Amino acid sequence: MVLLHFKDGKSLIDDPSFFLSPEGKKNPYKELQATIRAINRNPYLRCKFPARAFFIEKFLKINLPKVKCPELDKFLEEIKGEKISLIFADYYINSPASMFGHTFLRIYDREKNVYSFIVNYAAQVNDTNALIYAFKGLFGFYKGYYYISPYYQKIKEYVGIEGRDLWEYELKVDREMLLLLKLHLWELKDKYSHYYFFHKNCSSEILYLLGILKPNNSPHVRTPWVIPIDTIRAVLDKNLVRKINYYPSLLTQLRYLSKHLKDDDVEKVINWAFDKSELPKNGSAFLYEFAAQYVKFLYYSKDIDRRKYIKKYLYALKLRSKGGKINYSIKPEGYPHVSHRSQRFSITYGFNKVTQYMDVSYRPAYHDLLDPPQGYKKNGEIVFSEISLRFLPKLHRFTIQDWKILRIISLEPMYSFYRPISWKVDFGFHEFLNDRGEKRKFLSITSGFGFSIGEKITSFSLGEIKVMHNFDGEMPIAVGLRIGLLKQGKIFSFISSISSGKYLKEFNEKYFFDYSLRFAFHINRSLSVRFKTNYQLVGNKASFEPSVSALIYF
Amino acid sequence: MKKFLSALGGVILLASSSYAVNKENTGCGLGYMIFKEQEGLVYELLAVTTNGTFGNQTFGITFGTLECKKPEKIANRKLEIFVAENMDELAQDIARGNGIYLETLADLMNIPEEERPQFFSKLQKNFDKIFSSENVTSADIIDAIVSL
Repeated sequence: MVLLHFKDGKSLIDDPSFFLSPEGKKNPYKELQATIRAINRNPYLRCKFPARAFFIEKFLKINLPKVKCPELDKFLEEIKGEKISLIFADYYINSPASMFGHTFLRIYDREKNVYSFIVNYAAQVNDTNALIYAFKGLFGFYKGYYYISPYYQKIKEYVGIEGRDLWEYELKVDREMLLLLKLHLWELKDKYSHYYFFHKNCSSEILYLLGILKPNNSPHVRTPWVIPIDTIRAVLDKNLVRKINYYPSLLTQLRYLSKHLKDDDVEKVINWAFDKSELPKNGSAFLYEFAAQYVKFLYYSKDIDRRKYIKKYLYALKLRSKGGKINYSIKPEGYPHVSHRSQRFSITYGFNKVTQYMDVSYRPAYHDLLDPPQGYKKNGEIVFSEISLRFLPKLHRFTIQDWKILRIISLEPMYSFYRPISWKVDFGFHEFLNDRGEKRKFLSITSGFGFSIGEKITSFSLGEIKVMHNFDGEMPIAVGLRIGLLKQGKIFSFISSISSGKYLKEFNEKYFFDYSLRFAFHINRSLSVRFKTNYQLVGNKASFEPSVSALIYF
Repeated sequence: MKKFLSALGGVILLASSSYAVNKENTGCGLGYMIFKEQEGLVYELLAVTTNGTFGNQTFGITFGTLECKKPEKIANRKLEIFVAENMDELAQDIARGNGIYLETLADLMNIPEEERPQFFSKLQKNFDKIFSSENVTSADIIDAIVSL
């Protein structure tokens, strides 16, 4: 059943050539019979379906005719290796496809050998337009394939170009089952299944393969959708992990190296990279490693061209090669599996000058700025489809108060050598104060760009534009500036921000002002308490609203 | 609503990043990057590396090593591919005298575990000779390493 990818009465594989019986997609017993019959008739079919043949002989004790399969043997020779690990690639907030992280498998013998192979499940995407991508990805228009490629390629892509840390979770595995998995990978060669962003994605399909390794103890996630980090939790829950390795991204390496340098040394390297001065002649090994990594970083982000990069890179490394050995290993700030779970339920009590209220909210995914920060990308927020219902005690009824369809915020602080843009997008159904002092609900999209500084406490500044729309046909548009402070800590976090600007359309084109202060106390990784106050002003109409919430992560 | 939707589309487009990469790179020299869109057809890599036709078209696409010169002093296809694809990382590890790229190189050259520290420091001392110019190719590097 596992080999046929059966789930809920039918196979997850959509490619008809994967089945030998016309009813194979729905009926595994017919498919089994058809497989035995077909291999007996044409023994060479076992070269096409080696895992099934292996299974039939090994577990059902039915003998099948034997033949040589040279192609398959070469394949097995190429992906030889007795170890397997599940690798988690950090969140890459700047790409919609990767903002939840990514998982893939690696088959290898020696940990330090990067010429080993990885197994990746991905959609074959030809669209570069994010909207089309999102639509097609959500509704299964893409064909998903398993890919096999060398590990070093992935390292270059993730660690180098995209700046994502990698965590390798080595799995406990039985030799025979690993062979079955490899044989099955051969069967899946060129077989597609439709890709769905939420429930048939890279992580769910990789997790499925792990089920082959552990037929009696297969890891699974509790939700209908599959988020990459949940597959890591699933294998940990089943106690399948032997050890964990960490592979820092180019950016993490740069940060680490820069901490071993004086500020003006960092400055000198930057000046050298942009041809403003020479590289110091008597610098430390750290300085030259930093210099080489820095020009590589600039080259990857297309800030310098290839010729200049090669020249400077070799020059820095040449100086580095005279510096003997230095031993260091970069430790991760936290592990992604030691993080709060992605579903959240919360209850809020609050009041304003009109009424008291009680809100209940549910968020399927993922992490906001005030959630316990361990294991997540610092100063990053991805909220997907959080819905809040409001109970008004006077009226004895529930209404939909708020629906955060998608909100992404990235307030990555700038360093002397790296200046990322801070940005946010907020699309959802929210309540806004209007110029008559009433709260009204709008479908709205807010987008902001700016910058942030400071690692421990981050100050940020964003220019924002907001477009709203409601069922009465109003379409207010506002522009403004937001400045604020953010602190993310183990015990408590806070965010305080002031936003001010002007409505360009509707609301009598009034000026607005908004101050909010939010505190979160993290009792543990699954429990948190928050306090919030919010003062709003549109024209001369004001609103003040304090609230307190209890949040559970599960 | 129409206006709203187009505003929405604009904002999303603004927020999404593109993957355009300079396509003039080849894998023979330094500065080679692998392109995301060239991740390759399914199993292409294995199909090609296993069927023994070196210099095949698909191979060239995936690896960018199609037009690379072959080393003279050693015939080891995996080593050629690895060095061609990872020259920058290898340069860095050689300059540092350790790292996973050096370990992989030693694996591919079948250098026994106990000889590695010596091998690595020999390479480190000869960095200038191995990476002798900006136009050094992967074949030059392999030949230089082998003749040390």
